[in-house]
Amino acid sequence: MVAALWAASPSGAEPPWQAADAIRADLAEAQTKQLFDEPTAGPVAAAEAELRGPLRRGLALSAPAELSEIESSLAAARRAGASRDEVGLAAARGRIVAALRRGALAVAVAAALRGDAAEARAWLQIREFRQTTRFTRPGVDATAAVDALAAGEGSPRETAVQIEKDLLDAFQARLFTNLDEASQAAERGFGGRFAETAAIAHGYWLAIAAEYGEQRSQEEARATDRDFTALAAAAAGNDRARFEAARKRAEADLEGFTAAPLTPDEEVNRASQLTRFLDLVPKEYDKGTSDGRVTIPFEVQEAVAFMDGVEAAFSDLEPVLLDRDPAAVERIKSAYAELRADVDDAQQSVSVAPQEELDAARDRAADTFERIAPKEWTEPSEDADYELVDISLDQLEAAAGAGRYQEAEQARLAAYGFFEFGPELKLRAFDPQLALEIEGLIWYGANGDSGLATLVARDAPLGEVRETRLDLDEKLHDARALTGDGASAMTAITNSALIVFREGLEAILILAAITASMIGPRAPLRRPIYRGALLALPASMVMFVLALLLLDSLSQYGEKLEAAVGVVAIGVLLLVMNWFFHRVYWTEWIKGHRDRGKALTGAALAAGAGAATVAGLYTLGFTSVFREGFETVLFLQALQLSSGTGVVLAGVTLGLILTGIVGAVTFALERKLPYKKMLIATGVLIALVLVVLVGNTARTMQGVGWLSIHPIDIDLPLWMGTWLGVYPTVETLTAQALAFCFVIGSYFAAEWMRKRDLRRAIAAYEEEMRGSDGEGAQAGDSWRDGAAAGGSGAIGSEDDAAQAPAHSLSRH
Amino acid sequence: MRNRAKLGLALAAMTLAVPIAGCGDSGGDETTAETAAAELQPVKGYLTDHSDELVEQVEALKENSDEYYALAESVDFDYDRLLEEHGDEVEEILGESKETFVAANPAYEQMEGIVAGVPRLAQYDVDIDAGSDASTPEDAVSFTLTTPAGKQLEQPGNLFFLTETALYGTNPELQAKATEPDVDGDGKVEFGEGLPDADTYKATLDEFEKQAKSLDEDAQEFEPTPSDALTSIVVMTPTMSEYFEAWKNSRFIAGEGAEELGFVATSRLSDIADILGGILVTYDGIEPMIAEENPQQAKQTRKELQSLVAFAADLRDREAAGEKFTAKQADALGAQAQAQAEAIAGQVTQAAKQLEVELQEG
Repeated sequence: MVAALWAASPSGAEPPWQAADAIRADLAEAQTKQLFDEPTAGPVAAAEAELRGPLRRGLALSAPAELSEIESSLAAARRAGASRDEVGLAAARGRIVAALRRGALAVAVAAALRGDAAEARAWLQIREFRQTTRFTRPGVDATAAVDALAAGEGSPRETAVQIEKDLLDAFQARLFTNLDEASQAAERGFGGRFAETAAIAHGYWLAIAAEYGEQRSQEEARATDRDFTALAAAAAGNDRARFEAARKRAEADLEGFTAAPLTPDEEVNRASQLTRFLDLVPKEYDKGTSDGRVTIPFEVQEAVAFMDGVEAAFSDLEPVLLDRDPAAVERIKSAYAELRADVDDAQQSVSVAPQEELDAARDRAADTFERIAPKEWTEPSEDADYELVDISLDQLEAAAGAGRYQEAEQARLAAYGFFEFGPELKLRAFDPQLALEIEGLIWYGANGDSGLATLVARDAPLGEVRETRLDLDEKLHDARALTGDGASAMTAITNSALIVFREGLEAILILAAITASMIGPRAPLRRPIYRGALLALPASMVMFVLALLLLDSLSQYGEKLEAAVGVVAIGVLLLVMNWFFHRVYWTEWIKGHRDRGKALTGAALAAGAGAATVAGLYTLGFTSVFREGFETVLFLQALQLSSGTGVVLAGVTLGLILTGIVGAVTFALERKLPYKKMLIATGVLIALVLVVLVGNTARTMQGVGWLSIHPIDIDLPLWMGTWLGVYPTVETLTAQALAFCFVIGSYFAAEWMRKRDLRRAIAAYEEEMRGSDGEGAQAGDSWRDGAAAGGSGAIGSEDDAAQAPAHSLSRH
Repeated sequence: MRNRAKLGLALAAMTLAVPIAGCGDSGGDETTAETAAAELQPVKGYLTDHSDELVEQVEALKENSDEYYALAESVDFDYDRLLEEHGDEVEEILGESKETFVAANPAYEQMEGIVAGVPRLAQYDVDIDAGSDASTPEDAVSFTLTTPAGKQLEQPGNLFFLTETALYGTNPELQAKATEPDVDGDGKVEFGEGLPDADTYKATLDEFEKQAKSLDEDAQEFEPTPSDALTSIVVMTPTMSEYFEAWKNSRFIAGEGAEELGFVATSRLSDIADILGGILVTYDGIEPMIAEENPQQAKQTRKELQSLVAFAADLRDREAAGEKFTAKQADALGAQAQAQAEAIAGQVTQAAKQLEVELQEG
């Protein structure tokens, strides 16, 4: 019935894949016919006829044992068909399918070794594929390697290794899925399927047997071979008990064996995944349970998903660990088993184990792993972070799709956390714009797409969430490619220098804005600020050293520390501004002029400002620079990891020289600029610095969960976030508005106070004039000076004051 | 519940769907992109034809549900009175609804391969055809039904499932209460005689109409890319064993003991054939690109897809002709289809790699 549908070309010169597919299809057709009690001779004969041409020749040359097995199994299929032996036909098909794929591997490898990419590619079309699941995917390494060979970019030897690696991995993975299917079929009483899948499992064992013998020993390989032969025979005899016993032995034989060993880079990546997944299991469990009951099932589901990830990663790493310390591996597995039981029980509402139990199991597993794992495995890996971002975004989508937006928000923050504490720093070093775009897509939007924070906050339909996700995936992919390749020494030096220069410029801008007005008698006030700033340089260096020593803990708290430093910087800036406007610009000025006869020197002013004020200026200088220094350290830490300390230090030196030059020029120019204009510019700049600092710090506080997030649905260009700290949320904009109001308020408050005192001075003058005409001139000088001091308001008053016009009263 | 497992697999596949080398849809230049867009236009045409047809059928279903609701309301939702006083009208309305349902289902299934396989559209598949109820949150639909009476049904299951099981009476929760649903008045209640609870049924069709129209609008705006085409094939093809499992558990094979409440009007085999037909249309669009890079790969995948489509169509036709299949046969046939589908997904994954097209993750 389905013969026509599975039909293959009868041509003898057909490519090998076509003949192989036809054999498989013909035998499937025979099985289908058998299911419906129809004669099978036709399709079996067609299958036999297909074993010719390039397929036969290739197998005869590179895989004679497989060819021989295919021939004998085809004969067995014919006999089974004739005797209506369903199990016999199925077992024969299983053997043939496995032998065809094994043979194809051998021929493809031989072709690759000859440098014949076309031939290798043709035989790869008979390959087996790994099943697509959440944690695995069909391999493409063999295809990529053959393409590279064809393009002259890969060596025959490398190509052959990649083909073998990819295919052995697929064979081993499918060996286990076939064993599972065999058990299921046996349980359901489907004899044919039982025999076929067991035969395929046996055939795939043969594909990996040589590697097994090499990694373990020939003796062990022979023993395992006996177990697989036994299980295939048991299935062919429909003996479930014998099959299960043999399966158990075979699986025990294969425990810890990986046919296609991971490359060192893959091992590091898997180890990093394992570490992160393991950390997340008790964390998610903790969020999802309370007082012996499940409070947020979604979190428990996440714990289960991460436990799956732990087990999958561990199974890939187990062979290496077994070589190092088999007893420790057992301890790790026992801890995993406890964790697995706990999360499963919670998910199925069987019981909820106390959090301490999971924490203890996690600690036990993690400590043992850290003790026995190669050192490089326990260092952070960005690929693992990207995977975690992906997983969190998947969870976000699933939750949004189900209308559970609170959970979606949790998943979004988790994704952001993995990005922020993982690859973001390095990405910002390499491509700040891309980092901003990714951040924008996770938060409030970028490139015309709404951000996930905005979408989740307004319960957007999944379609919209997905649009952003797709864009985000693309950006993350680019980021991964950019940061994952590793930078050359020159690139790393340039990047380090650029980071230092960029952050240095920010610090210079802030310092210049703050100190611009401190000239003339107030010039000495610059000193504490400069000293504080200079002190921040060694402090930043100490931070850099600490960062190297305490990588993990620092990266964990990096953004929180940044937020805290930001808050301190804002606090100090506000205090100093307050003092600045009210005391220096006005009160101190008036006071100084009233105390006529006293020399208004900078030293006196500094002394008059008091120890608290000087300390405030020190702190201002220090925090202004240290905040940038801190950020620089975090960036450099990421670069140091990938490029080494020496390279980074070279870049830092270059960056510092450039920053020093620009700083010297800026501060020199600052002294020569027209004073009044400088004062106005200073006022604007200080206000700007404060507003930007407040915006960025509020944004950082949102990132670490210290401040709530209420997005506003407006599309702001990314540069506004970069340069002005403007982000579309109620909290950040409100904070900036308050900061702005503070600045303006300070100005008007100063104005109001000045006018009030002026009125008082006028009143006092008039009083004096009424009382004594002879003393009028002296009193007039006094109020004129007072009026002049505030002539142009708090900012930009000094020129007026210096000129002290006699007619100033008339201006008010 | 209809299609739960399939959804899980599809989502899992999407989750992992391979982030292969290259960035963007293809590594080709503008001309290549334009050529690809032109070649994929038939995919869009196919999609919009079907989304348009779905809207038409669902509008008809909604019209019937409104009439049915009005009748029930006229007797204060006393369903005994409804059958007594308006029995003929009810029979006619529900009869028409069943006929429309049988037409609407393939209109959707034929495009399901594209809708469910393209991440941007996949949510429609969850809500319309694949999603489960709130009992399995990870696969559940996104909507909540609010009935005219104000009752809220949170994540009640997909819309085809709700409509079908209400019309055919296989889901007691969607039936009018305390009433013998002898719709045709022949004195006995036969399989397939359902008397829907008008309040819930109306809410279902209101939502269905909304979703169908929204899907149609999005389909009109959808411009398929090579990444969309390849992703949909990789995501959708490896779910064959689940389809066959649903078929095995449905009334068509399991008879009275069926665990599956859905698939009573149309056999799951019919869905399978329709879905694969849609996937083949998608492959038609992308095949020239694959052939340019690797002609033998393109040929192999076409051959396998065609044989899979024909295999499913043949089984559907045999069943329609009255042939009865056993659970064992369904299992074996499903395993064959699954093996072939996984091979196709694997081949398309390799093709994507060679084309430097990124398969979407979700």
